[in-house]
Amino acid sequence: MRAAARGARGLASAAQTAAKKTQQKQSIDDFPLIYPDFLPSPVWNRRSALFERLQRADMLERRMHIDIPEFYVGSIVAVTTSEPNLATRQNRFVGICIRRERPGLLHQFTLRNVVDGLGVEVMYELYNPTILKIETLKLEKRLDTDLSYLIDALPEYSTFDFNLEPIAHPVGTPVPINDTQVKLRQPPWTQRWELYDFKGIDKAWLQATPYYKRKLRITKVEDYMKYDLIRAYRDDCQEAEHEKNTQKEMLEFERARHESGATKRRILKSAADGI
Amino acid sequence: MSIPQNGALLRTANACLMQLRFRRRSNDTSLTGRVYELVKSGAIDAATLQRMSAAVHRKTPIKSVEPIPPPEAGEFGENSRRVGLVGIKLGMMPQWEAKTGKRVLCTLIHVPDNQIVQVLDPETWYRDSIVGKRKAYGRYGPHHRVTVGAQNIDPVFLDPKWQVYFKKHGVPAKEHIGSFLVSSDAVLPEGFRLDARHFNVGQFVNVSGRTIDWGFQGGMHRWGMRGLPDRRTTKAHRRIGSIGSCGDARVWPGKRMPGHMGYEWRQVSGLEVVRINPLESVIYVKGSVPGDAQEKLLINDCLHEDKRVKNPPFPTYLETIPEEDEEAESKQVVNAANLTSADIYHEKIFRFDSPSIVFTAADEKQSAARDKMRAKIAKVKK
Repeated sequence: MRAAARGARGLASAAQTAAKKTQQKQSIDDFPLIYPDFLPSPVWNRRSALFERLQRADMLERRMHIDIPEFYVGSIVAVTTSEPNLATRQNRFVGICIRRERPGLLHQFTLRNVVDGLGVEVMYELYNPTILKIETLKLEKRLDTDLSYLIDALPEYSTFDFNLEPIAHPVGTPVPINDTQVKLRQPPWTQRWELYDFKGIDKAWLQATPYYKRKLRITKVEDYMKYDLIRAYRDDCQEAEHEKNTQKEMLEFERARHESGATKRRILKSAADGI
Repeated sequence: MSIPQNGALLRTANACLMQLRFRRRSNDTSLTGRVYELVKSGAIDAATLQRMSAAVHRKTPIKSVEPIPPPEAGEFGENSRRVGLVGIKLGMMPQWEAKTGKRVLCTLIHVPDNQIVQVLDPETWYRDSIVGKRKAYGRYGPHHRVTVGAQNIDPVFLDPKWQVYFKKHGVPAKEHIGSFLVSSDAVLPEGFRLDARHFNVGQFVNVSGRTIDWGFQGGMHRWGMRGLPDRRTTKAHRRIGSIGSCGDARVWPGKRMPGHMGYEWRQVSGLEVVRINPLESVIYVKGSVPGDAQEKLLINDCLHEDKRVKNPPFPTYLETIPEEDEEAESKQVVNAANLTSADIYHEKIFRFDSPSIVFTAADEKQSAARDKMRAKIAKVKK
């Protein structure tokens, strides 16, 4: 009798965990990292519920018509855009994503590559309608979320083959973190990389010139800002409630479009979670 | 909660300046009273507010309003001047041109619950107001003063004199009001509800509002002065320097000096309407408008010769009968999927439900200079 009761309870709990799992699959933990464009504006003045809803409506509509894959800063991405003055009316650029900025429809990402010995950085607006295709050739992350320092690194760290074959990422596995530490060229650099706390640079301080090392005394280094939790909350805009509501809205939008039969494209995806 | 990454430290100075901007706390032209301030500060809790609100509603009950007969459609003549709308600035968003893919930054203006509150005929306006003595009888004929209200609000938040005002005109209490000069043929009855489709997509409008409040600013920021040199100057790098000459022996009135900057009423004219969202009453206007987000704006037709609207809905948008519209709205649940489904777009604006822009040979840039190859080939042939 007791064993039967225990068995029944066990079955019930197993059913509960299964139900929980399917429910959990509908929401992604890393939502702000996969969809940084859906983060609200860091400027408090510009936070308006209606404005954000209108912007999201346009963003979701665009995502239903073009496949915007998951990519991070450090991933190798290929973008095909419409060009009126080229014979083929298309231009394809391959590069490593070095930064992703701006909230909403203004979201832009920059790809870097070295073409014929010349470093080239191209900034694309994610929701620009002249973008025909975005492909993630290699899905990976780096130790930093901003790779602007590649401009002062040795060219081999920014050179990627234009004909690189896409490397499939096994769905359900976590996104790999590429922990290369780049070597910078000899100074002078475009920025004082030795002052920042970039994990992906190899020995920036040792390479910096004595002049700048002497100037450190009077340089305004704001490394205490990383301990300001209020500023992090306000500027990084990672509010759990907002994320939950946004994901729910995305799923409702998806369902409505699928029901109308317009398209079968899915918007809410995560390579690591396998949904 | 995550610790900010290094990318946050590389934020531009512009963004930091935005955060430091002075935000006016009490708008001296607002209709709200002390109850609003107390609720915002938390001195009055929800239960007390509810009791106060009930008391105000008992004193000023909203009587059942008879349906206002819709005005007859008229002709937009040369000297006609339509009423405008009172809106709230939401923010700026990019749109793209459908043919060229060029980005167009648009300002979103929310025009909620716009309703005619008061109509003053020119004779009464002239008699009772100093402004009326200037404006009621003008070069283009007599004009009525039509006051439009926006954004319904619980009357408990208003100053008592404004509670009385809205009760007198039989209109639900509004958060913002603005007045417009309107010609006699375009006058609308009090209580009439205005729609965002009052404007045509593609027409030009004037938008006026109070500019951003920068607070107390020095000469360099307020007036664009150059300050004094970095070197060989004692403690005076951002000061205004000399304020006059010895001969005048005085300071000229209006001398540019540090002081309060911004929060002044300004009008930007000739902005194009590129998109209208009738479900949420939002107008997308190309360009920037004065003021911060969540501030009041007045929008009306641009009357410049080359930008004057051609065939606007006159005297206003009359297509849907209000009762029918209410029924339709109650049936349809507005969510993300159909929020922009009823939008009216300018033909040159890219609609997000269409595929990506693809160019053809016709879009290629044609060279202005004549093709010299032809002449060369002809010469060689010879």
